Amino acid sequence: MSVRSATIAPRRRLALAPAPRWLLGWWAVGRAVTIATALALKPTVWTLDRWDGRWYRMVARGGYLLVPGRQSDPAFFPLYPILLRGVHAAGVGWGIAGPLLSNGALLLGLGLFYALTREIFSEQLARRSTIYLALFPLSYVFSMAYPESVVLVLLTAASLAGLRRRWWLAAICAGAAALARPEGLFLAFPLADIAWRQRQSLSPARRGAALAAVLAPVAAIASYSLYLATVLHDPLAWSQAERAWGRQFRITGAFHAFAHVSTAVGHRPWLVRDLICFFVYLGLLYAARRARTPPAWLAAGAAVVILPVFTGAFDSVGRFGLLAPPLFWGLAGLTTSRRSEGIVRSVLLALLVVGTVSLAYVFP
Amino acid sequence: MSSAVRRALLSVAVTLAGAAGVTASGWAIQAAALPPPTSATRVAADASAWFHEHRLVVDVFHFDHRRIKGACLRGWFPRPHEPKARASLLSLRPGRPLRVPERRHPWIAAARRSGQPGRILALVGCTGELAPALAAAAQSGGHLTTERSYAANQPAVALELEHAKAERLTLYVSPRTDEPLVAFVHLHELEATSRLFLARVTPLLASRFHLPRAPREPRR
Repeated sequence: MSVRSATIAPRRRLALAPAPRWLLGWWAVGRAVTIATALALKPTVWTLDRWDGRWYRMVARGGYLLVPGRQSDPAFFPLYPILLRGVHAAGVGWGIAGPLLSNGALLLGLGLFYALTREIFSEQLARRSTIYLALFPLSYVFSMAYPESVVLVLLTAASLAGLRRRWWLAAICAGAAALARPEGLFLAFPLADIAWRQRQSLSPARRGAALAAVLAPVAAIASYSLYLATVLHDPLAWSQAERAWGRQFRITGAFHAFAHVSTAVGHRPWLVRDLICFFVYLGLLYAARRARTPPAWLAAGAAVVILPVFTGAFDSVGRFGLLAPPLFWGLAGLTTSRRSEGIVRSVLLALLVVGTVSLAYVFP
Repeated sequence: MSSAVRRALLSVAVTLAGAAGVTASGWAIQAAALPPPTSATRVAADASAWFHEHRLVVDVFHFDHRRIKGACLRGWFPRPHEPKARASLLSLRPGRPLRVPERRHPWIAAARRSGQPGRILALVGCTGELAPALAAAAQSGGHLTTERSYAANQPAVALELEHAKAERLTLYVSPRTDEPLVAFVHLHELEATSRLFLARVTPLLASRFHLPRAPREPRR
């Protein structure tokens, strides 16, 4: 497995090859399994449109409103609701708009993820990790009215654009990713790494554009705060709303999360899922390191997995991990033989069914 | 100025321009694509915040051609043979306090118990009932309207929340601060009004209305 250097490559065209048939096939398999299981639970779009999907729809329909002391919608970032409004404006009903958008975006996201992985690693590892991402047990979230699949598109597009020296495009994608999910902030690590490697061969203006791309996620979050200040007169409304959802960053948060884990599991047994995911993800990050994942990507992956624990809880860590590409590179690095690859695919598919069924009982 | 410094300054200028561009365009897209909250939803959210911040309200009710004084306290209260639960204690003078358990849908719960006057009074006189009803209406984009009005001997904004055909809550709030002044409910042929005095829990007020002194709200 080799890590290709990004420094020597000249500025390349961004045109992407059409998605290979196998990619289309695995996307269809993963989505068919998820949607069929969801429809088996309830023959409506209910399963894929519930939990946070309801909040995103609320923002899309009526904008933001902060109700102090109550769970409010500024905790949900604005890009996905904006896209939902766009899909709805095209004549699609609110209930179906989210799943439609997410499933479509996933196909594009998988294509970009494949292209990015091939650029960093090899064709074989790219193929394996893309299939694993499509079938991952929590990938049912990619079919729900959640922004994860859109963020996948944007974070892979930003990195690819950076690697191909399209820094203004990288800045737009990185900013948009941070407007969809706060995990978009961690894109700054790989983008900074790519920019650093290219520094000698970039003109001053292009170097500035590269730095702007690194800062774009922070700038985008600033734009969200500015918008909240305009409409709600509180630039930190999103952080205030997060607190009502039980999320507040503290230095002692991780200690609190571990110290109270048994009590938390007693109250919410489903938390075991996120606990298992947390430790499996740590293992996969280690595997990614062994697979020679660039350190900046490892740092971004570690931030996605570990930082949420500093809010004092493990809730939803499993879902957050979907936006950490090194996890899938690590898993692909562990399965080099055809037999092990087949076993992993089967296990992932079985767990995908179980995960989708869990939607009837617990939020992802 | 050496060419190296000039090149570095150019890079910095482009970086700053790029970051400012992302911020400005991000704001512009949000402002253009998302609807701002209506004045009615904002008043409802503010009023809900007032109720959330005050656990105790001293009420003067008008119900069934009678004027009744009372107070309502929100908190965690013990139940017989069960752990403590969130509820409101409505104390009407004279009489023993009535325990109103917190429900997810206070309107529906009240409608079901519309035969109980205490339940109707809780709907207009307890912060534990009014806050979630207003917050839910504001967040769900329920049928909310505002108009200029007059209540409690002062100019007010009347916020009307229509839940169903025969269920209507009107909350009169101060035009400047959105502080709730009067609540009026019309619920299936029944009507009740409460002049609301939001208050802090003091030993004097608690003992005057036979309410527990310090039922602190544990952190959720």
